[in-house]
Amino acid sequence: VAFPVSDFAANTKGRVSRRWFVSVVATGAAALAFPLPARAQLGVISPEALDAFLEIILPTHPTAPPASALNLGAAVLMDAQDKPLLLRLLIDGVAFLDTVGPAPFARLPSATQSQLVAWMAASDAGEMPAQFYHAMRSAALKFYYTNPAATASFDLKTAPQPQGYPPPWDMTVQTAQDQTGLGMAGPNR
Amino acid sequence: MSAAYDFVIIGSGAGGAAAAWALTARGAAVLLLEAGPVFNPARDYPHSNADWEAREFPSPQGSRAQIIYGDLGKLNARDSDLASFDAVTPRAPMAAMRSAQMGGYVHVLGVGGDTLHEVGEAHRLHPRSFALARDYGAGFDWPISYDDLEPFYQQIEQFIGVAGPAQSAQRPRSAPLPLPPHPLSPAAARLVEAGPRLGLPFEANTRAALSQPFDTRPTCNYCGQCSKGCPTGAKGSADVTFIRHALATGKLTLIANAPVVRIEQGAGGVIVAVEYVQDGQLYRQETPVLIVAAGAVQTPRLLLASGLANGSGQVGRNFMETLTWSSTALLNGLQGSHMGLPADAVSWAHNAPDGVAGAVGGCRYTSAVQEAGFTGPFAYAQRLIAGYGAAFHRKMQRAFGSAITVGATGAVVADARSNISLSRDQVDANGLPLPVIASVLTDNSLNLLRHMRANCRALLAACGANAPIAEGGSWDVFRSKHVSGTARMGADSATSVTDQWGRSHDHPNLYIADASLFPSNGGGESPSLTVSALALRQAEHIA
Repeated sequence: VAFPVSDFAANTKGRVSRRWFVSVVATGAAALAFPLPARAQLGVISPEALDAFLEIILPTHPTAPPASALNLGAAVLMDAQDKPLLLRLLIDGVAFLDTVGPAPFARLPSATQSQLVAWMAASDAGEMPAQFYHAMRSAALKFYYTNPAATASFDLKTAPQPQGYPPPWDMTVQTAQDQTGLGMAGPNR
Repeated sequence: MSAAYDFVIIGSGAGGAAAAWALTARGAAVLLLEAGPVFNPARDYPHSNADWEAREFPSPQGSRAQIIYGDLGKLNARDSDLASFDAVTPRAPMAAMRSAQMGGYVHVLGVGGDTLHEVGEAHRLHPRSFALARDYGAGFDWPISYDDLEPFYQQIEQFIGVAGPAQSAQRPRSAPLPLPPHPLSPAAARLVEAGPRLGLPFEANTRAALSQPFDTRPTCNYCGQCSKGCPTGAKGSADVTFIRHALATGKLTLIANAPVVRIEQGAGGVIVAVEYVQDGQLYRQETPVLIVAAGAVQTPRLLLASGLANGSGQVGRNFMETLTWSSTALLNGLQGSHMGLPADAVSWAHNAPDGVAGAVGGCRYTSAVQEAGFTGPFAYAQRLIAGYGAAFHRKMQRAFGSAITVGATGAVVADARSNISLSRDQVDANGLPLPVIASVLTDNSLNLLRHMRANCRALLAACGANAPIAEGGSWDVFRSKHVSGTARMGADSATSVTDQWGRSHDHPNLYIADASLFPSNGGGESPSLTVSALALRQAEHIA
């Protein structure tokens, strides 16, 4: 079902305060919003919406697994438990995802989900939609790239130790060192 | 406690540890008090875990001091071309004030001090930097010359195992470095090739990281994580060099997690004791000689709080941060730039005090891919490759390993507005007033910063890189590991805190052995080697 991008903006109007971060921090709303333990707060977040959002951010690819394969949504939620501002952004952002379109985000057609994410990414950086996009992207990428399944296609070890990256690294480097006389060449005397 | 030691040293970083080694090696009994904990490399630097890239240098309890930031300078819109940016983070509206981001004053309290999280560059100051005021009309002069310090530079280099070129055109050595230079990383090799075309020749950097086995420590295996802690002992941090050897003498008593809260003076200004806290208990330790080596923030804090050494009124004044800039681009054809030793190549072409037109002090350039953190895909995704979806995956596959970063580090000339003072209303858990850092960039700094940026960009272009996609520096962000100048040495007791040996003009048995002593901070050199050389020179003088 086509859903014009302009409708996202129209639906957002009046419901998402400008300068979300500033307003939340200035009023202390992040702290005041948590009369219940963080775990209970997580219960108001639709995991389906978050999972679907992250699947748009990190879809399956020939060289990399999708977000769902690494259970990134659950990792992001767990990580937010002791981060009041991030948790508040999660609650507001996921609620926004589920109400800004004609149906809950997870039930929107893939093309519409992509349209919405694109609109959020390009929206005013001071507004909640963009801040949600950037914060979730960043949080998801941290868990994504600390999973060996996501880094297997790079010229990279699972971790830099204990093997390190002993030289030589490539022939271009060796040629340059030979030409300049720099680089390891025996005793320094 | 009664005086059972010949010396008490406060702080176990590059200065305090070197002093402890030098004194114990000469048979003296030394008590070394360290405010922070002992780090265990195998436990604390887990670079073998899959989540290595998300980890910073560890911060166990007691390893970070509380700092208050005062005036860091206003941001003027006319200088907003110097604003930091990257390809991913949305640009925020310009702030009114420079802020202490990414840690601000990044200081480690722990056995080994800042050497634990430094990259480990081992630099001698430029010989002409010692007479900045006399020859260039800016800042202050050292009461000693390069030649006075050279033998001690040489001894420290030999002791910790510095790798680098056998000789230096700008910094004459009385002996070659003990270890050959490291092989150049892929990005450094490109700068070595391109630099001469701009009059910026690069050479292998002098590094306190082993290019061959040395003193029972292993060769560096180039994991690229020096600033997050070296788990192998290849980096010559103070804990695996000076302190290890000092402990082996049997003459060193090391007490960690023991912040000093007061220095006590007796008749005639003689220092008689220190008070420190351990496990919530206050201890008093008498000492015939006290060496304060807590760094350029904590040393003046302690002196000011104790009302000591300030007959000149200069304690805490002349705070010098480090001026930094870095430019990062992607370079087609470059592969594996995440591999190799951080800061492995350096250009000293503009390092002399008059090396930069329009600014006094000088600067230097390094290959800085690893220092900038581009050693894994998370950093690329956070700062270099924007977007999401399949396009993001494709860009990551193409880009990873092709980042090239040029870093520049420049002088800061002491300015009256930059200083360390004590908070009037905030104290730490032990009741000691918190230090307040004020650090303001001058026109000289801004001119130098623009020069550094221009040449970082020019070097990238000469390598064939696209336009920078991540840049940043000191204009809008105060972030400094290397700070100095707050208890400077000098020939005149009216205008300096210590004499040429680091001895207080006001107290005959009080010495300072850290970067507080620096009257000027060179042209972007890393200070640790100079701190250690000064401490060794001091120790030989008083032992």
